[in-house]
Amino acid sequence: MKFNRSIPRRTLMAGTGITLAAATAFAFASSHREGPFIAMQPTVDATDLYMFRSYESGRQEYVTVIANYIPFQDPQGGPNFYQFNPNALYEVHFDNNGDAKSDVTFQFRFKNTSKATALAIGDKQVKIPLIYSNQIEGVNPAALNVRETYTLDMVRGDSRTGTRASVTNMAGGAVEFDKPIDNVGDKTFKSGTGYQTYANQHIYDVAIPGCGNGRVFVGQRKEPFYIAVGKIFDLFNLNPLGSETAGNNNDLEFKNVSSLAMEVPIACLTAGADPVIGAYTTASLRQGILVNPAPVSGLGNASVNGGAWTQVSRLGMPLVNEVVIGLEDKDRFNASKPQDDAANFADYVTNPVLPALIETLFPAAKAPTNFPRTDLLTAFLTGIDGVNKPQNVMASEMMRLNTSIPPTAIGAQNPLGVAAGDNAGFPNGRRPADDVVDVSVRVAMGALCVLTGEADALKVGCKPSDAPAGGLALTDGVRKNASAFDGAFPYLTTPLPGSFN
Amino acid sequence: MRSSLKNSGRLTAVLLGSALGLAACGSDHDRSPAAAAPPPAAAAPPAAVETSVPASAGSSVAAYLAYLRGLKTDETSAPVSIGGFVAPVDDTAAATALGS
Repeated sequence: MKFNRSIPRRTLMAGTGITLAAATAFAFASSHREGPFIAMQPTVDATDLYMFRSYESGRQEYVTVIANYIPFQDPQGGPNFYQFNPNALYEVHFDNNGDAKSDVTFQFRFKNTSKATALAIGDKQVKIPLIYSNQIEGVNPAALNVRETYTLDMVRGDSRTGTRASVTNMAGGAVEFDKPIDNVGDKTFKSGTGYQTYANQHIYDVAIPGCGNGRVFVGQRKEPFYIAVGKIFDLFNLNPLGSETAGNNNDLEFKNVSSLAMEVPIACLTAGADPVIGAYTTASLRQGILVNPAPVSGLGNASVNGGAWTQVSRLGMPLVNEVVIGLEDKDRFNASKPQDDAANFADYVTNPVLPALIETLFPAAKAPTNFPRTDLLTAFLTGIDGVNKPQNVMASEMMRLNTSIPPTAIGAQNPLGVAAGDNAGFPNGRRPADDVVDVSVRVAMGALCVLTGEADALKVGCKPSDAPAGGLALTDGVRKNASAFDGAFPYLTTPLPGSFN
Repeated sequence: MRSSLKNSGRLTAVLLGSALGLAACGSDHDRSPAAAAPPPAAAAPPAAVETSVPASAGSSVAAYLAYLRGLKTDETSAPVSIGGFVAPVDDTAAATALGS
């Protein structure tokens, strides 16, 4: 099931004289700053969601889920660096019966506590301007001026009105966990490996109500998403049939991101005999935010926040709100629920714009001709039959994982996932190394119509002749493999230090 | 219960909107001789300019949102002070629809 090339590169590149209007709809950065409103709210901007059966030795009966937030972090972004929003609710939702509604939800809430560290300056005690006052070592050291903590609740049933219980620390039963400060630099953490040691002290073994134990980590990581995003923004200024592994630079190579990572027993997330689960992450703010023109001294006094939680960010499968949903509906999508997708957004999937734009850019790459695009309905809204489609499914956009498919060992993973015969990878969930850009572009151009064959073995409702460019090995020229990431929870690597020069 | 809260919120919003609308009617026409004809006792007192968030806005989520919705874009006034105001929250309710 491999993609192959059938159109000469020279022919494909002939169509670079395209219109600006056609190209402005591209916004390829998984889910970084993808919507007009969320681009102004970076602390609640979900960037990527990963979900896979844990491939760390001895942890195969767990599912790892990582929700990343706060995009395009420059490692040197002091003095406050990147904190989760204490006035926000971050959630990871799981649907385990295919009805497009949350059955299990994990909710993260954050709190920043100032220690009001002051120095004696002359005859006065004067508060310092930094979130740390000296070198950092261990959990919540005295040198940490702002302690960032979080709670994690598990809700069964409706995310707002269901049954709620706290996830607790296996060591002592506390419900509050410390988040490590970001990787300020090697001097602050005493050595080049100091931050890794420090951050690892914030990986918690936890008791999940009714589920046994699991693990949780919240903190900064090196940005795992890889893409030639600059060239793509520049009117797709690259050769889409060039080298898949060394054609272009990863423009996110020197960025960090903030992760909410959990490892949860499979049985905690599934229901009945169906091994398929769907997942998506959301962030919500209080509906009413009133800015304080005269905040008193302290943290959290610059505004008052009231009302119900109001969703402002939503992310399941990568790239959906970037290149599938139209610009004027991106804010709407971020506020929406999966059960309403068919009514709200079906046209964007059945009659997608992206393939037509690609054909405009590269006329030799003909867009698929089957409408409605049932192959994309399968990829985005239901899952692939026999791979990750729930036994009963209401069409809705979320990431789906068949938990009965064993994980692939780190050394054997193929970044092209299911398309390359590695069924433990994208779109059956998503692992850190999976090349979702190349796979998504190929699927948009009809790869499933080619893979399914004349007999439609994948039951996607199209055939190879519907997708003239469906067999092309389209690529942005950036590729990583699993060895670029850790082989153990939380899998994403130590963030880049702020003082890298 | 929640429905009634929402309804009361809408009512508050309507009343507040009406009050603001009435206050906004104080145009030059009111200074005409005809407008000055009614006896002084019947004239409504000028609306006081709010300098802080009213305590009533903290009585419920609906009241708070009604207050926020009643805030008008204003290029000249100073912002209202927050003081010790605590915004009410609701962890279980759905967000209130704002309409178009």
